[in-house]
Amino acid sequence: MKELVAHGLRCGYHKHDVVKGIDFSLNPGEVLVVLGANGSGKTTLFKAIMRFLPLSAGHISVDGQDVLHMSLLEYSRIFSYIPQQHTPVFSYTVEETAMMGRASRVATFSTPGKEDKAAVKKALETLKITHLKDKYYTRISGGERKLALIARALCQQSKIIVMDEPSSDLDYANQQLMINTILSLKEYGYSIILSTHAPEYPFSVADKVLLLKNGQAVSYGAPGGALNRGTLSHAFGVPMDVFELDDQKGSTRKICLPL
Amino acid sequence: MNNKHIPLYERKNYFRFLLVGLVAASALSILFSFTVGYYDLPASRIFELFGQIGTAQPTSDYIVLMRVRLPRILSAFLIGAALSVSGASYQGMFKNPLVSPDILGVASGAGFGASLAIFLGMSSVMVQTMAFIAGLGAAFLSFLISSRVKYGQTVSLILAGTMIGALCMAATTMLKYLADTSDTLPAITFWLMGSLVKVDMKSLLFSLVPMAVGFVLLFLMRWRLNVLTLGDEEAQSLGVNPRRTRFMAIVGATLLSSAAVCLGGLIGWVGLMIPHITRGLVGPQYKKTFPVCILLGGCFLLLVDDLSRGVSALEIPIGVLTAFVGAPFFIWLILRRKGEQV
Repeated sequence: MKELVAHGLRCGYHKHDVVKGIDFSLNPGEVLVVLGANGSGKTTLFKAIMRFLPLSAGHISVDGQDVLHMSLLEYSRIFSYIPQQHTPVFSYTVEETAMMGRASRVATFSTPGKEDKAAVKKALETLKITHLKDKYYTRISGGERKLALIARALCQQSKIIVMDEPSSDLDYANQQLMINTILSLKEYGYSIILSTHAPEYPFSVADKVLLLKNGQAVSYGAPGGALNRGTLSHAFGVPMDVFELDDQKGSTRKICLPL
Repeated sequence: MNNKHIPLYERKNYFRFLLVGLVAASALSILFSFTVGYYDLPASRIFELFGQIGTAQPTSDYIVLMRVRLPRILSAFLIGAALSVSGASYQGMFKNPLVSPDILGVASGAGFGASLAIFLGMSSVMVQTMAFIAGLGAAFLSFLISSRVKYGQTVSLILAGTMIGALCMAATTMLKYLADTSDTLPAITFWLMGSLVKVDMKSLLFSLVPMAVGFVLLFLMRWRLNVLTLGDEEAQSLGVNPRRTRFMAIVGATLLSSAAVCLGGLIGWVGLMIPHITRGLVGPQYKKTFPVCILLGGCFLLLVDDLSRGVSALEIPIGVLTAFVGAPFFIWLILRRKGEQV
């Protein structure tokens, strides 16, 4: 994969557009953070990217090829999806959960084979969660659940991972774990699109940030340029600013605080 | 971690032991069931009689065993297995552990079909055929209605199924109201209560074909069905077409439940209770759920049928007994679990 380009995306519910003309692009190994307050259209935008909702206008292309008319199977090999935290009705083991990432490679009337088992083993090793493989999904922590779903995405072997609020509902340590995991996925060459409502999150992981308000872009670009007093205050509806701190290692960190 | 805290189903080799145990239990239940009934037939005599298969002049013992008890035992076992597998499939595809095989109106539809056939004075073969066709028809109609809805197919399916079920039940009540109270009305009422009294080899073979198709279809889909339990959006993101997959699963599960209902009448609770117990034993993975459902469901209904024909000279309708046994058991199970989810 070379480049993902989304242009003029519009979509919504019952003929009412919630996302109103969004553009962005993503190169291999890049992380795009979609930032915005609750109700700014992040989840709706993600549903459109994943084709759960039809677009009312706009297009998405990968390497110059229109992807919106691809088959489900082809699409699932480009995009994988990690939903928001939820408790499933039926709980599978971590290994079984990861195995479902192989669904596009296992025929309808077939069961996973050697290659699929090898892929699951490798994914669990990559994320260092092999010890959890026989644990049931509902019996592990929130952070571990996220890792199980990421393992599933890795098994899917698609180059773009779409994560809906990967760090919400997680405690501080698990949020850091998630950031480190995202950074290592980026190292492996995965492109990642994720959403968050935490304003300083993009500074830790993002190559690009798309700041949303009412379904429209407030700003878009590298976090250093796109996020400042004006754009953040406008997007979140509270006066706030970005502050710089020097940490013990001598590098500069950015935090957001209300004014 | 202390061994005590590991749930049973996470322990090694547990599934194999369970399966062997259930096969043995099924064999014993079947053998035991041959001895149950008004006509006295001790266990020792049964093996002797099986040795006589193919003899020119069958004794009355032989006739009771082969023409009365054998089809009944096979039917009870198969109906239990079919309803359980059907229930487990429906529960998975609707992501809802409280769904029963009647969710798309199959049982109500079959009830209406059978009632109409009895009302019109048709033969027992026609009653069974009409029940089967009407059961399939009700599910098909529910599916057709829901497929006109663009989003949220599971909810629309459940709503459509409930409506079709209500319509069929109203139509059945109307038929009962109009039926001759001396013979037709009792016949309809007894059919609706669920009974295996009239089962013979012919009616068993009639149901066996759709059951076999349903079993095979669902068994082949056993891995794919797991993906469906994640919900439509996640299934789609994994490259699985949820609507197409669900349609195939509905065909399989509906064939099973229609075939079961047209053979034994309305027998509730099995398709709800057995899958629930099964998931508690082996988790929700269909590769394990299906075989356990078949054995557990088969055994359960067989033993309940033994009760229904063994307790008194007057047969208790099996549908009544499954509720009497099933409902309290279910309550006990829910109370014991203390809200823990599997």
